[in-house]
Amino acid sequence: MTDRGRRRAAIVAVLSFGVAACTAATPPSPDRESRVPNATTQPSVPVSPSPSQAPRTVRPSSSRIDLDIGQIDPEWLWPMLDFASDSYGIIWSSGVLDGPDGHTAPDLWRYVPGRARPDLLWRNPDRDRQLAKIGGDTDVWAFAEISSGQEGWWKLWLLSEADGSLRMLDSKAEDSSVPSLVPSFDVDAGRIAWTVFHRGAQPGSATSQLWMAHAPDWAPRLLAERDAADHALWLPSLYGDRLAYVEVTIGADPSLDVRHVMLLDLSSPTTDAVQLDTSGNATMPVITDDGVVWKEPEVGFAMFNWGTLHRYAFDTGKVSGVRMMPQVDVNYPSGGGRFLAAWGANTSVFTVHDLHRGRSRLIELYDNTVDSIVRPHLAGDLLVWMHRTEAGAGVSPPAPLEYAWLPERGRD
Amino acid sequence: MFRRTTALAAIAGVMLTATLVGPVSAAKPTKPPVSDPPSERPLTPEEQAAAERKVAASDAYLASIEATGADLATLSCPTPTATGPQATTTGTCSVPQGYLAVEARDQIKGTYCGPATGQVIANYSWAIGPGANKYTQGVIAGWMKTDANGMTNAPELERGLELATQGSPRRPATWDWVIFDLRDRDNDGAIGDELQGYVRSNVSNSKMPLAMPVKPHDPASQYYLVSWPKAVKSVGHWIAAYGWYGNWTGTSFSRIYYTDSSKDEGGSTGKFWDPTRDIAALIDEHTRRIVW
Repeated sequence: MTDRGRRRAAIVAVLSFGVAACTAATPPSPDRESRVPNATTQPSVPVSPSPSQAPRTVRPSSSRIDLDIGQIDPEWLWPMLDFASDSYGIIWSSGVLDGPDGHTAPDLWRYVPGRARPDLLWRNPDRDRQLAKIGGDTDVWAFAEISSGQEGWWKLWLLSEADGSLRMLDSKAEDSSVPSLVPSFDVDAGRIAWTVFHRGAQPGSATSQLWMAHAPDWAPRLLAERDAADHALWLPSLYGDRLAYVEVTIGADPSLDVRHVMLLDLSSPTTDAVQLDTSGNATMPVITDDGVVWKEPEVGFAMFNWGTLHRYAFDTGKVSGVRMMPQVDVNYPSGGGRFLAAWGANTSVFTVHDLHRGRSRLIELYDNTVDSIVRPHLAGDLLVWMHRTEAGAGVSPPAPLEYAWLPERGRD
Repeated sequence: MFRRTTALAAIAGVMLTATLVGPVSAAKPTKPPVSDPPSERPLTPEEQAAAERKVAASDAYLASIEATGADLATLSCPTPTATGPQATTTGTCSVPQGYLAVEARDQIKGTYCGPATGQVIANYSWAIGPGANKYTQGVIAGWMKTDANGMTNAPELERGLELATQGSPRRPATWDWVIFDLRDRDNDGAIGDELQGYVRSNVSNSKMPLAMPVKPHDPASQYYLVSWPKAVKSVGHWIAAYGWYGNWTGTSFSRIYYTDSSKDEGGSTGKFWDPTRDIAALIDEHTRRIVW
């Protein structure tokens, strides 16, 4: 049997084991439980989907971080579009309700580690829709809904468990004069910040806006606005009293765009946003306990391309590099208080960066050409990622999501 | 002014919280869509022969590189395996790689990814300066029959590239654009190795970009281009490959560099790179026909 064959057999065996006799991953700690008033603690019932111990190649390493890794069976996921940690559960957009014919991802699902099965948070009445981007924090979730076709409209929805409400925060109709890019947003502690493109005041013009809303009324408040002809506001990150975002000055050619990470002090509404980077090539900011981390693609490359991480420290005001060893290039950083996660270009090695210890921590290392760890996302202490099995040629088997609680300070 | 609506009543019936939702036993395992490549006309015998000639020339070039040892990373480089460092080029380490000087272009219509790719390649081939274009996308779209077909098929894209680069200074004298159906020629279970070789041969030997068809971010796929953060059920998309990095190892180590044109179509416009393995998967999900 080839390596790939052995690996597939191992995965099948693990999934089967999970159905029959799996154990749940580390259950939420009492303090996490208390953050969700409406959540109920349920016993870990070993039924599908089955959080299970993923197979791992244990190698001695001083930087290794030992985690109890749970797994969500692909049968609950695909077709799946976006997924994320909301710091207490794992959320994803999926069309799994439509069975084998499902090719869109119109619904929002959530799985809380320790529970028997995932919950359907929102069933979309329109099946020909996609939840292109989702996000949330504990008991508030947001998602951008789009057509599954080529239509250029979008709707930004907010779902709150506290009052059981679904609100449309923002929307854009089909309008060729306005970029059809879906909103980027971040949810934190009963608040949401988002960026959008809308029609401008002048005919044919467009505007780029940064908005914010908070519980209980969720009334949108405009924080910043730019002419979209030469500027764009992107990718907000919200944490505590701070809001970071990207301000792009659009160049004649995409390689000439200038991108700065800006930081707003929400406790001081009259204070202007402060530019954190000096490179003009910064994007995808993430606020952590003691600083702001962002990604910088190589000069000349677009902002969604792979890049390196940099960090602004609140206490010193200095910028330094952050290496998620052994990765050189990463994408889509995310973070909680202590750790940073990012999608490493080398998908055979899975690490996170421990901001407290100032070094990378190895989660998994695969010495083969089959296992790939992609799209990790971290919120709070809950990390989720996709574990892809590479087929080489042909269709890869549907990938599971895996998850783990990262240790709090002093717990490892 | 945009609309802000609280849509509580309309949606209340379908919002199911953790306490309301029942077992979702109706959800059955979904199978990934296994489909034949979208139907384009089959290649003519002449086109197939031309494609095989180009493959043979590419094989010969790659064999000559291998014979000279020029495709080896320097001894100081970490071995590019699954466990080794990724793309390290510090110190004296040198990973084999090659790039062409291209500029990305934004497609002016939703269906113009083919003409935009043609514009990027034509501008390179004619050595056009920054910000300028040799031909408009409208002209190239006419050659590629994009408006007539509502899309750009590989045979028409090949025709458009022939016309758009004919007589240009960077086009080799004996150059012939060909369509090739990507396949696992060495039966090793992967097509990424062949793809990396074709890109390397085109870029480093012929000094010409390639046009690649992909499903950029299909909702049912586990792969997507980093240039496409938003999923779209796309009929397909063309990108221009202009660079390569590293030898194929079966992992995410080797890369293909490309331009994308899709800022207003769900993707973004600019220069990007992705693992060759991922791009091969995205080609495999589409027509599997490259034009090079």
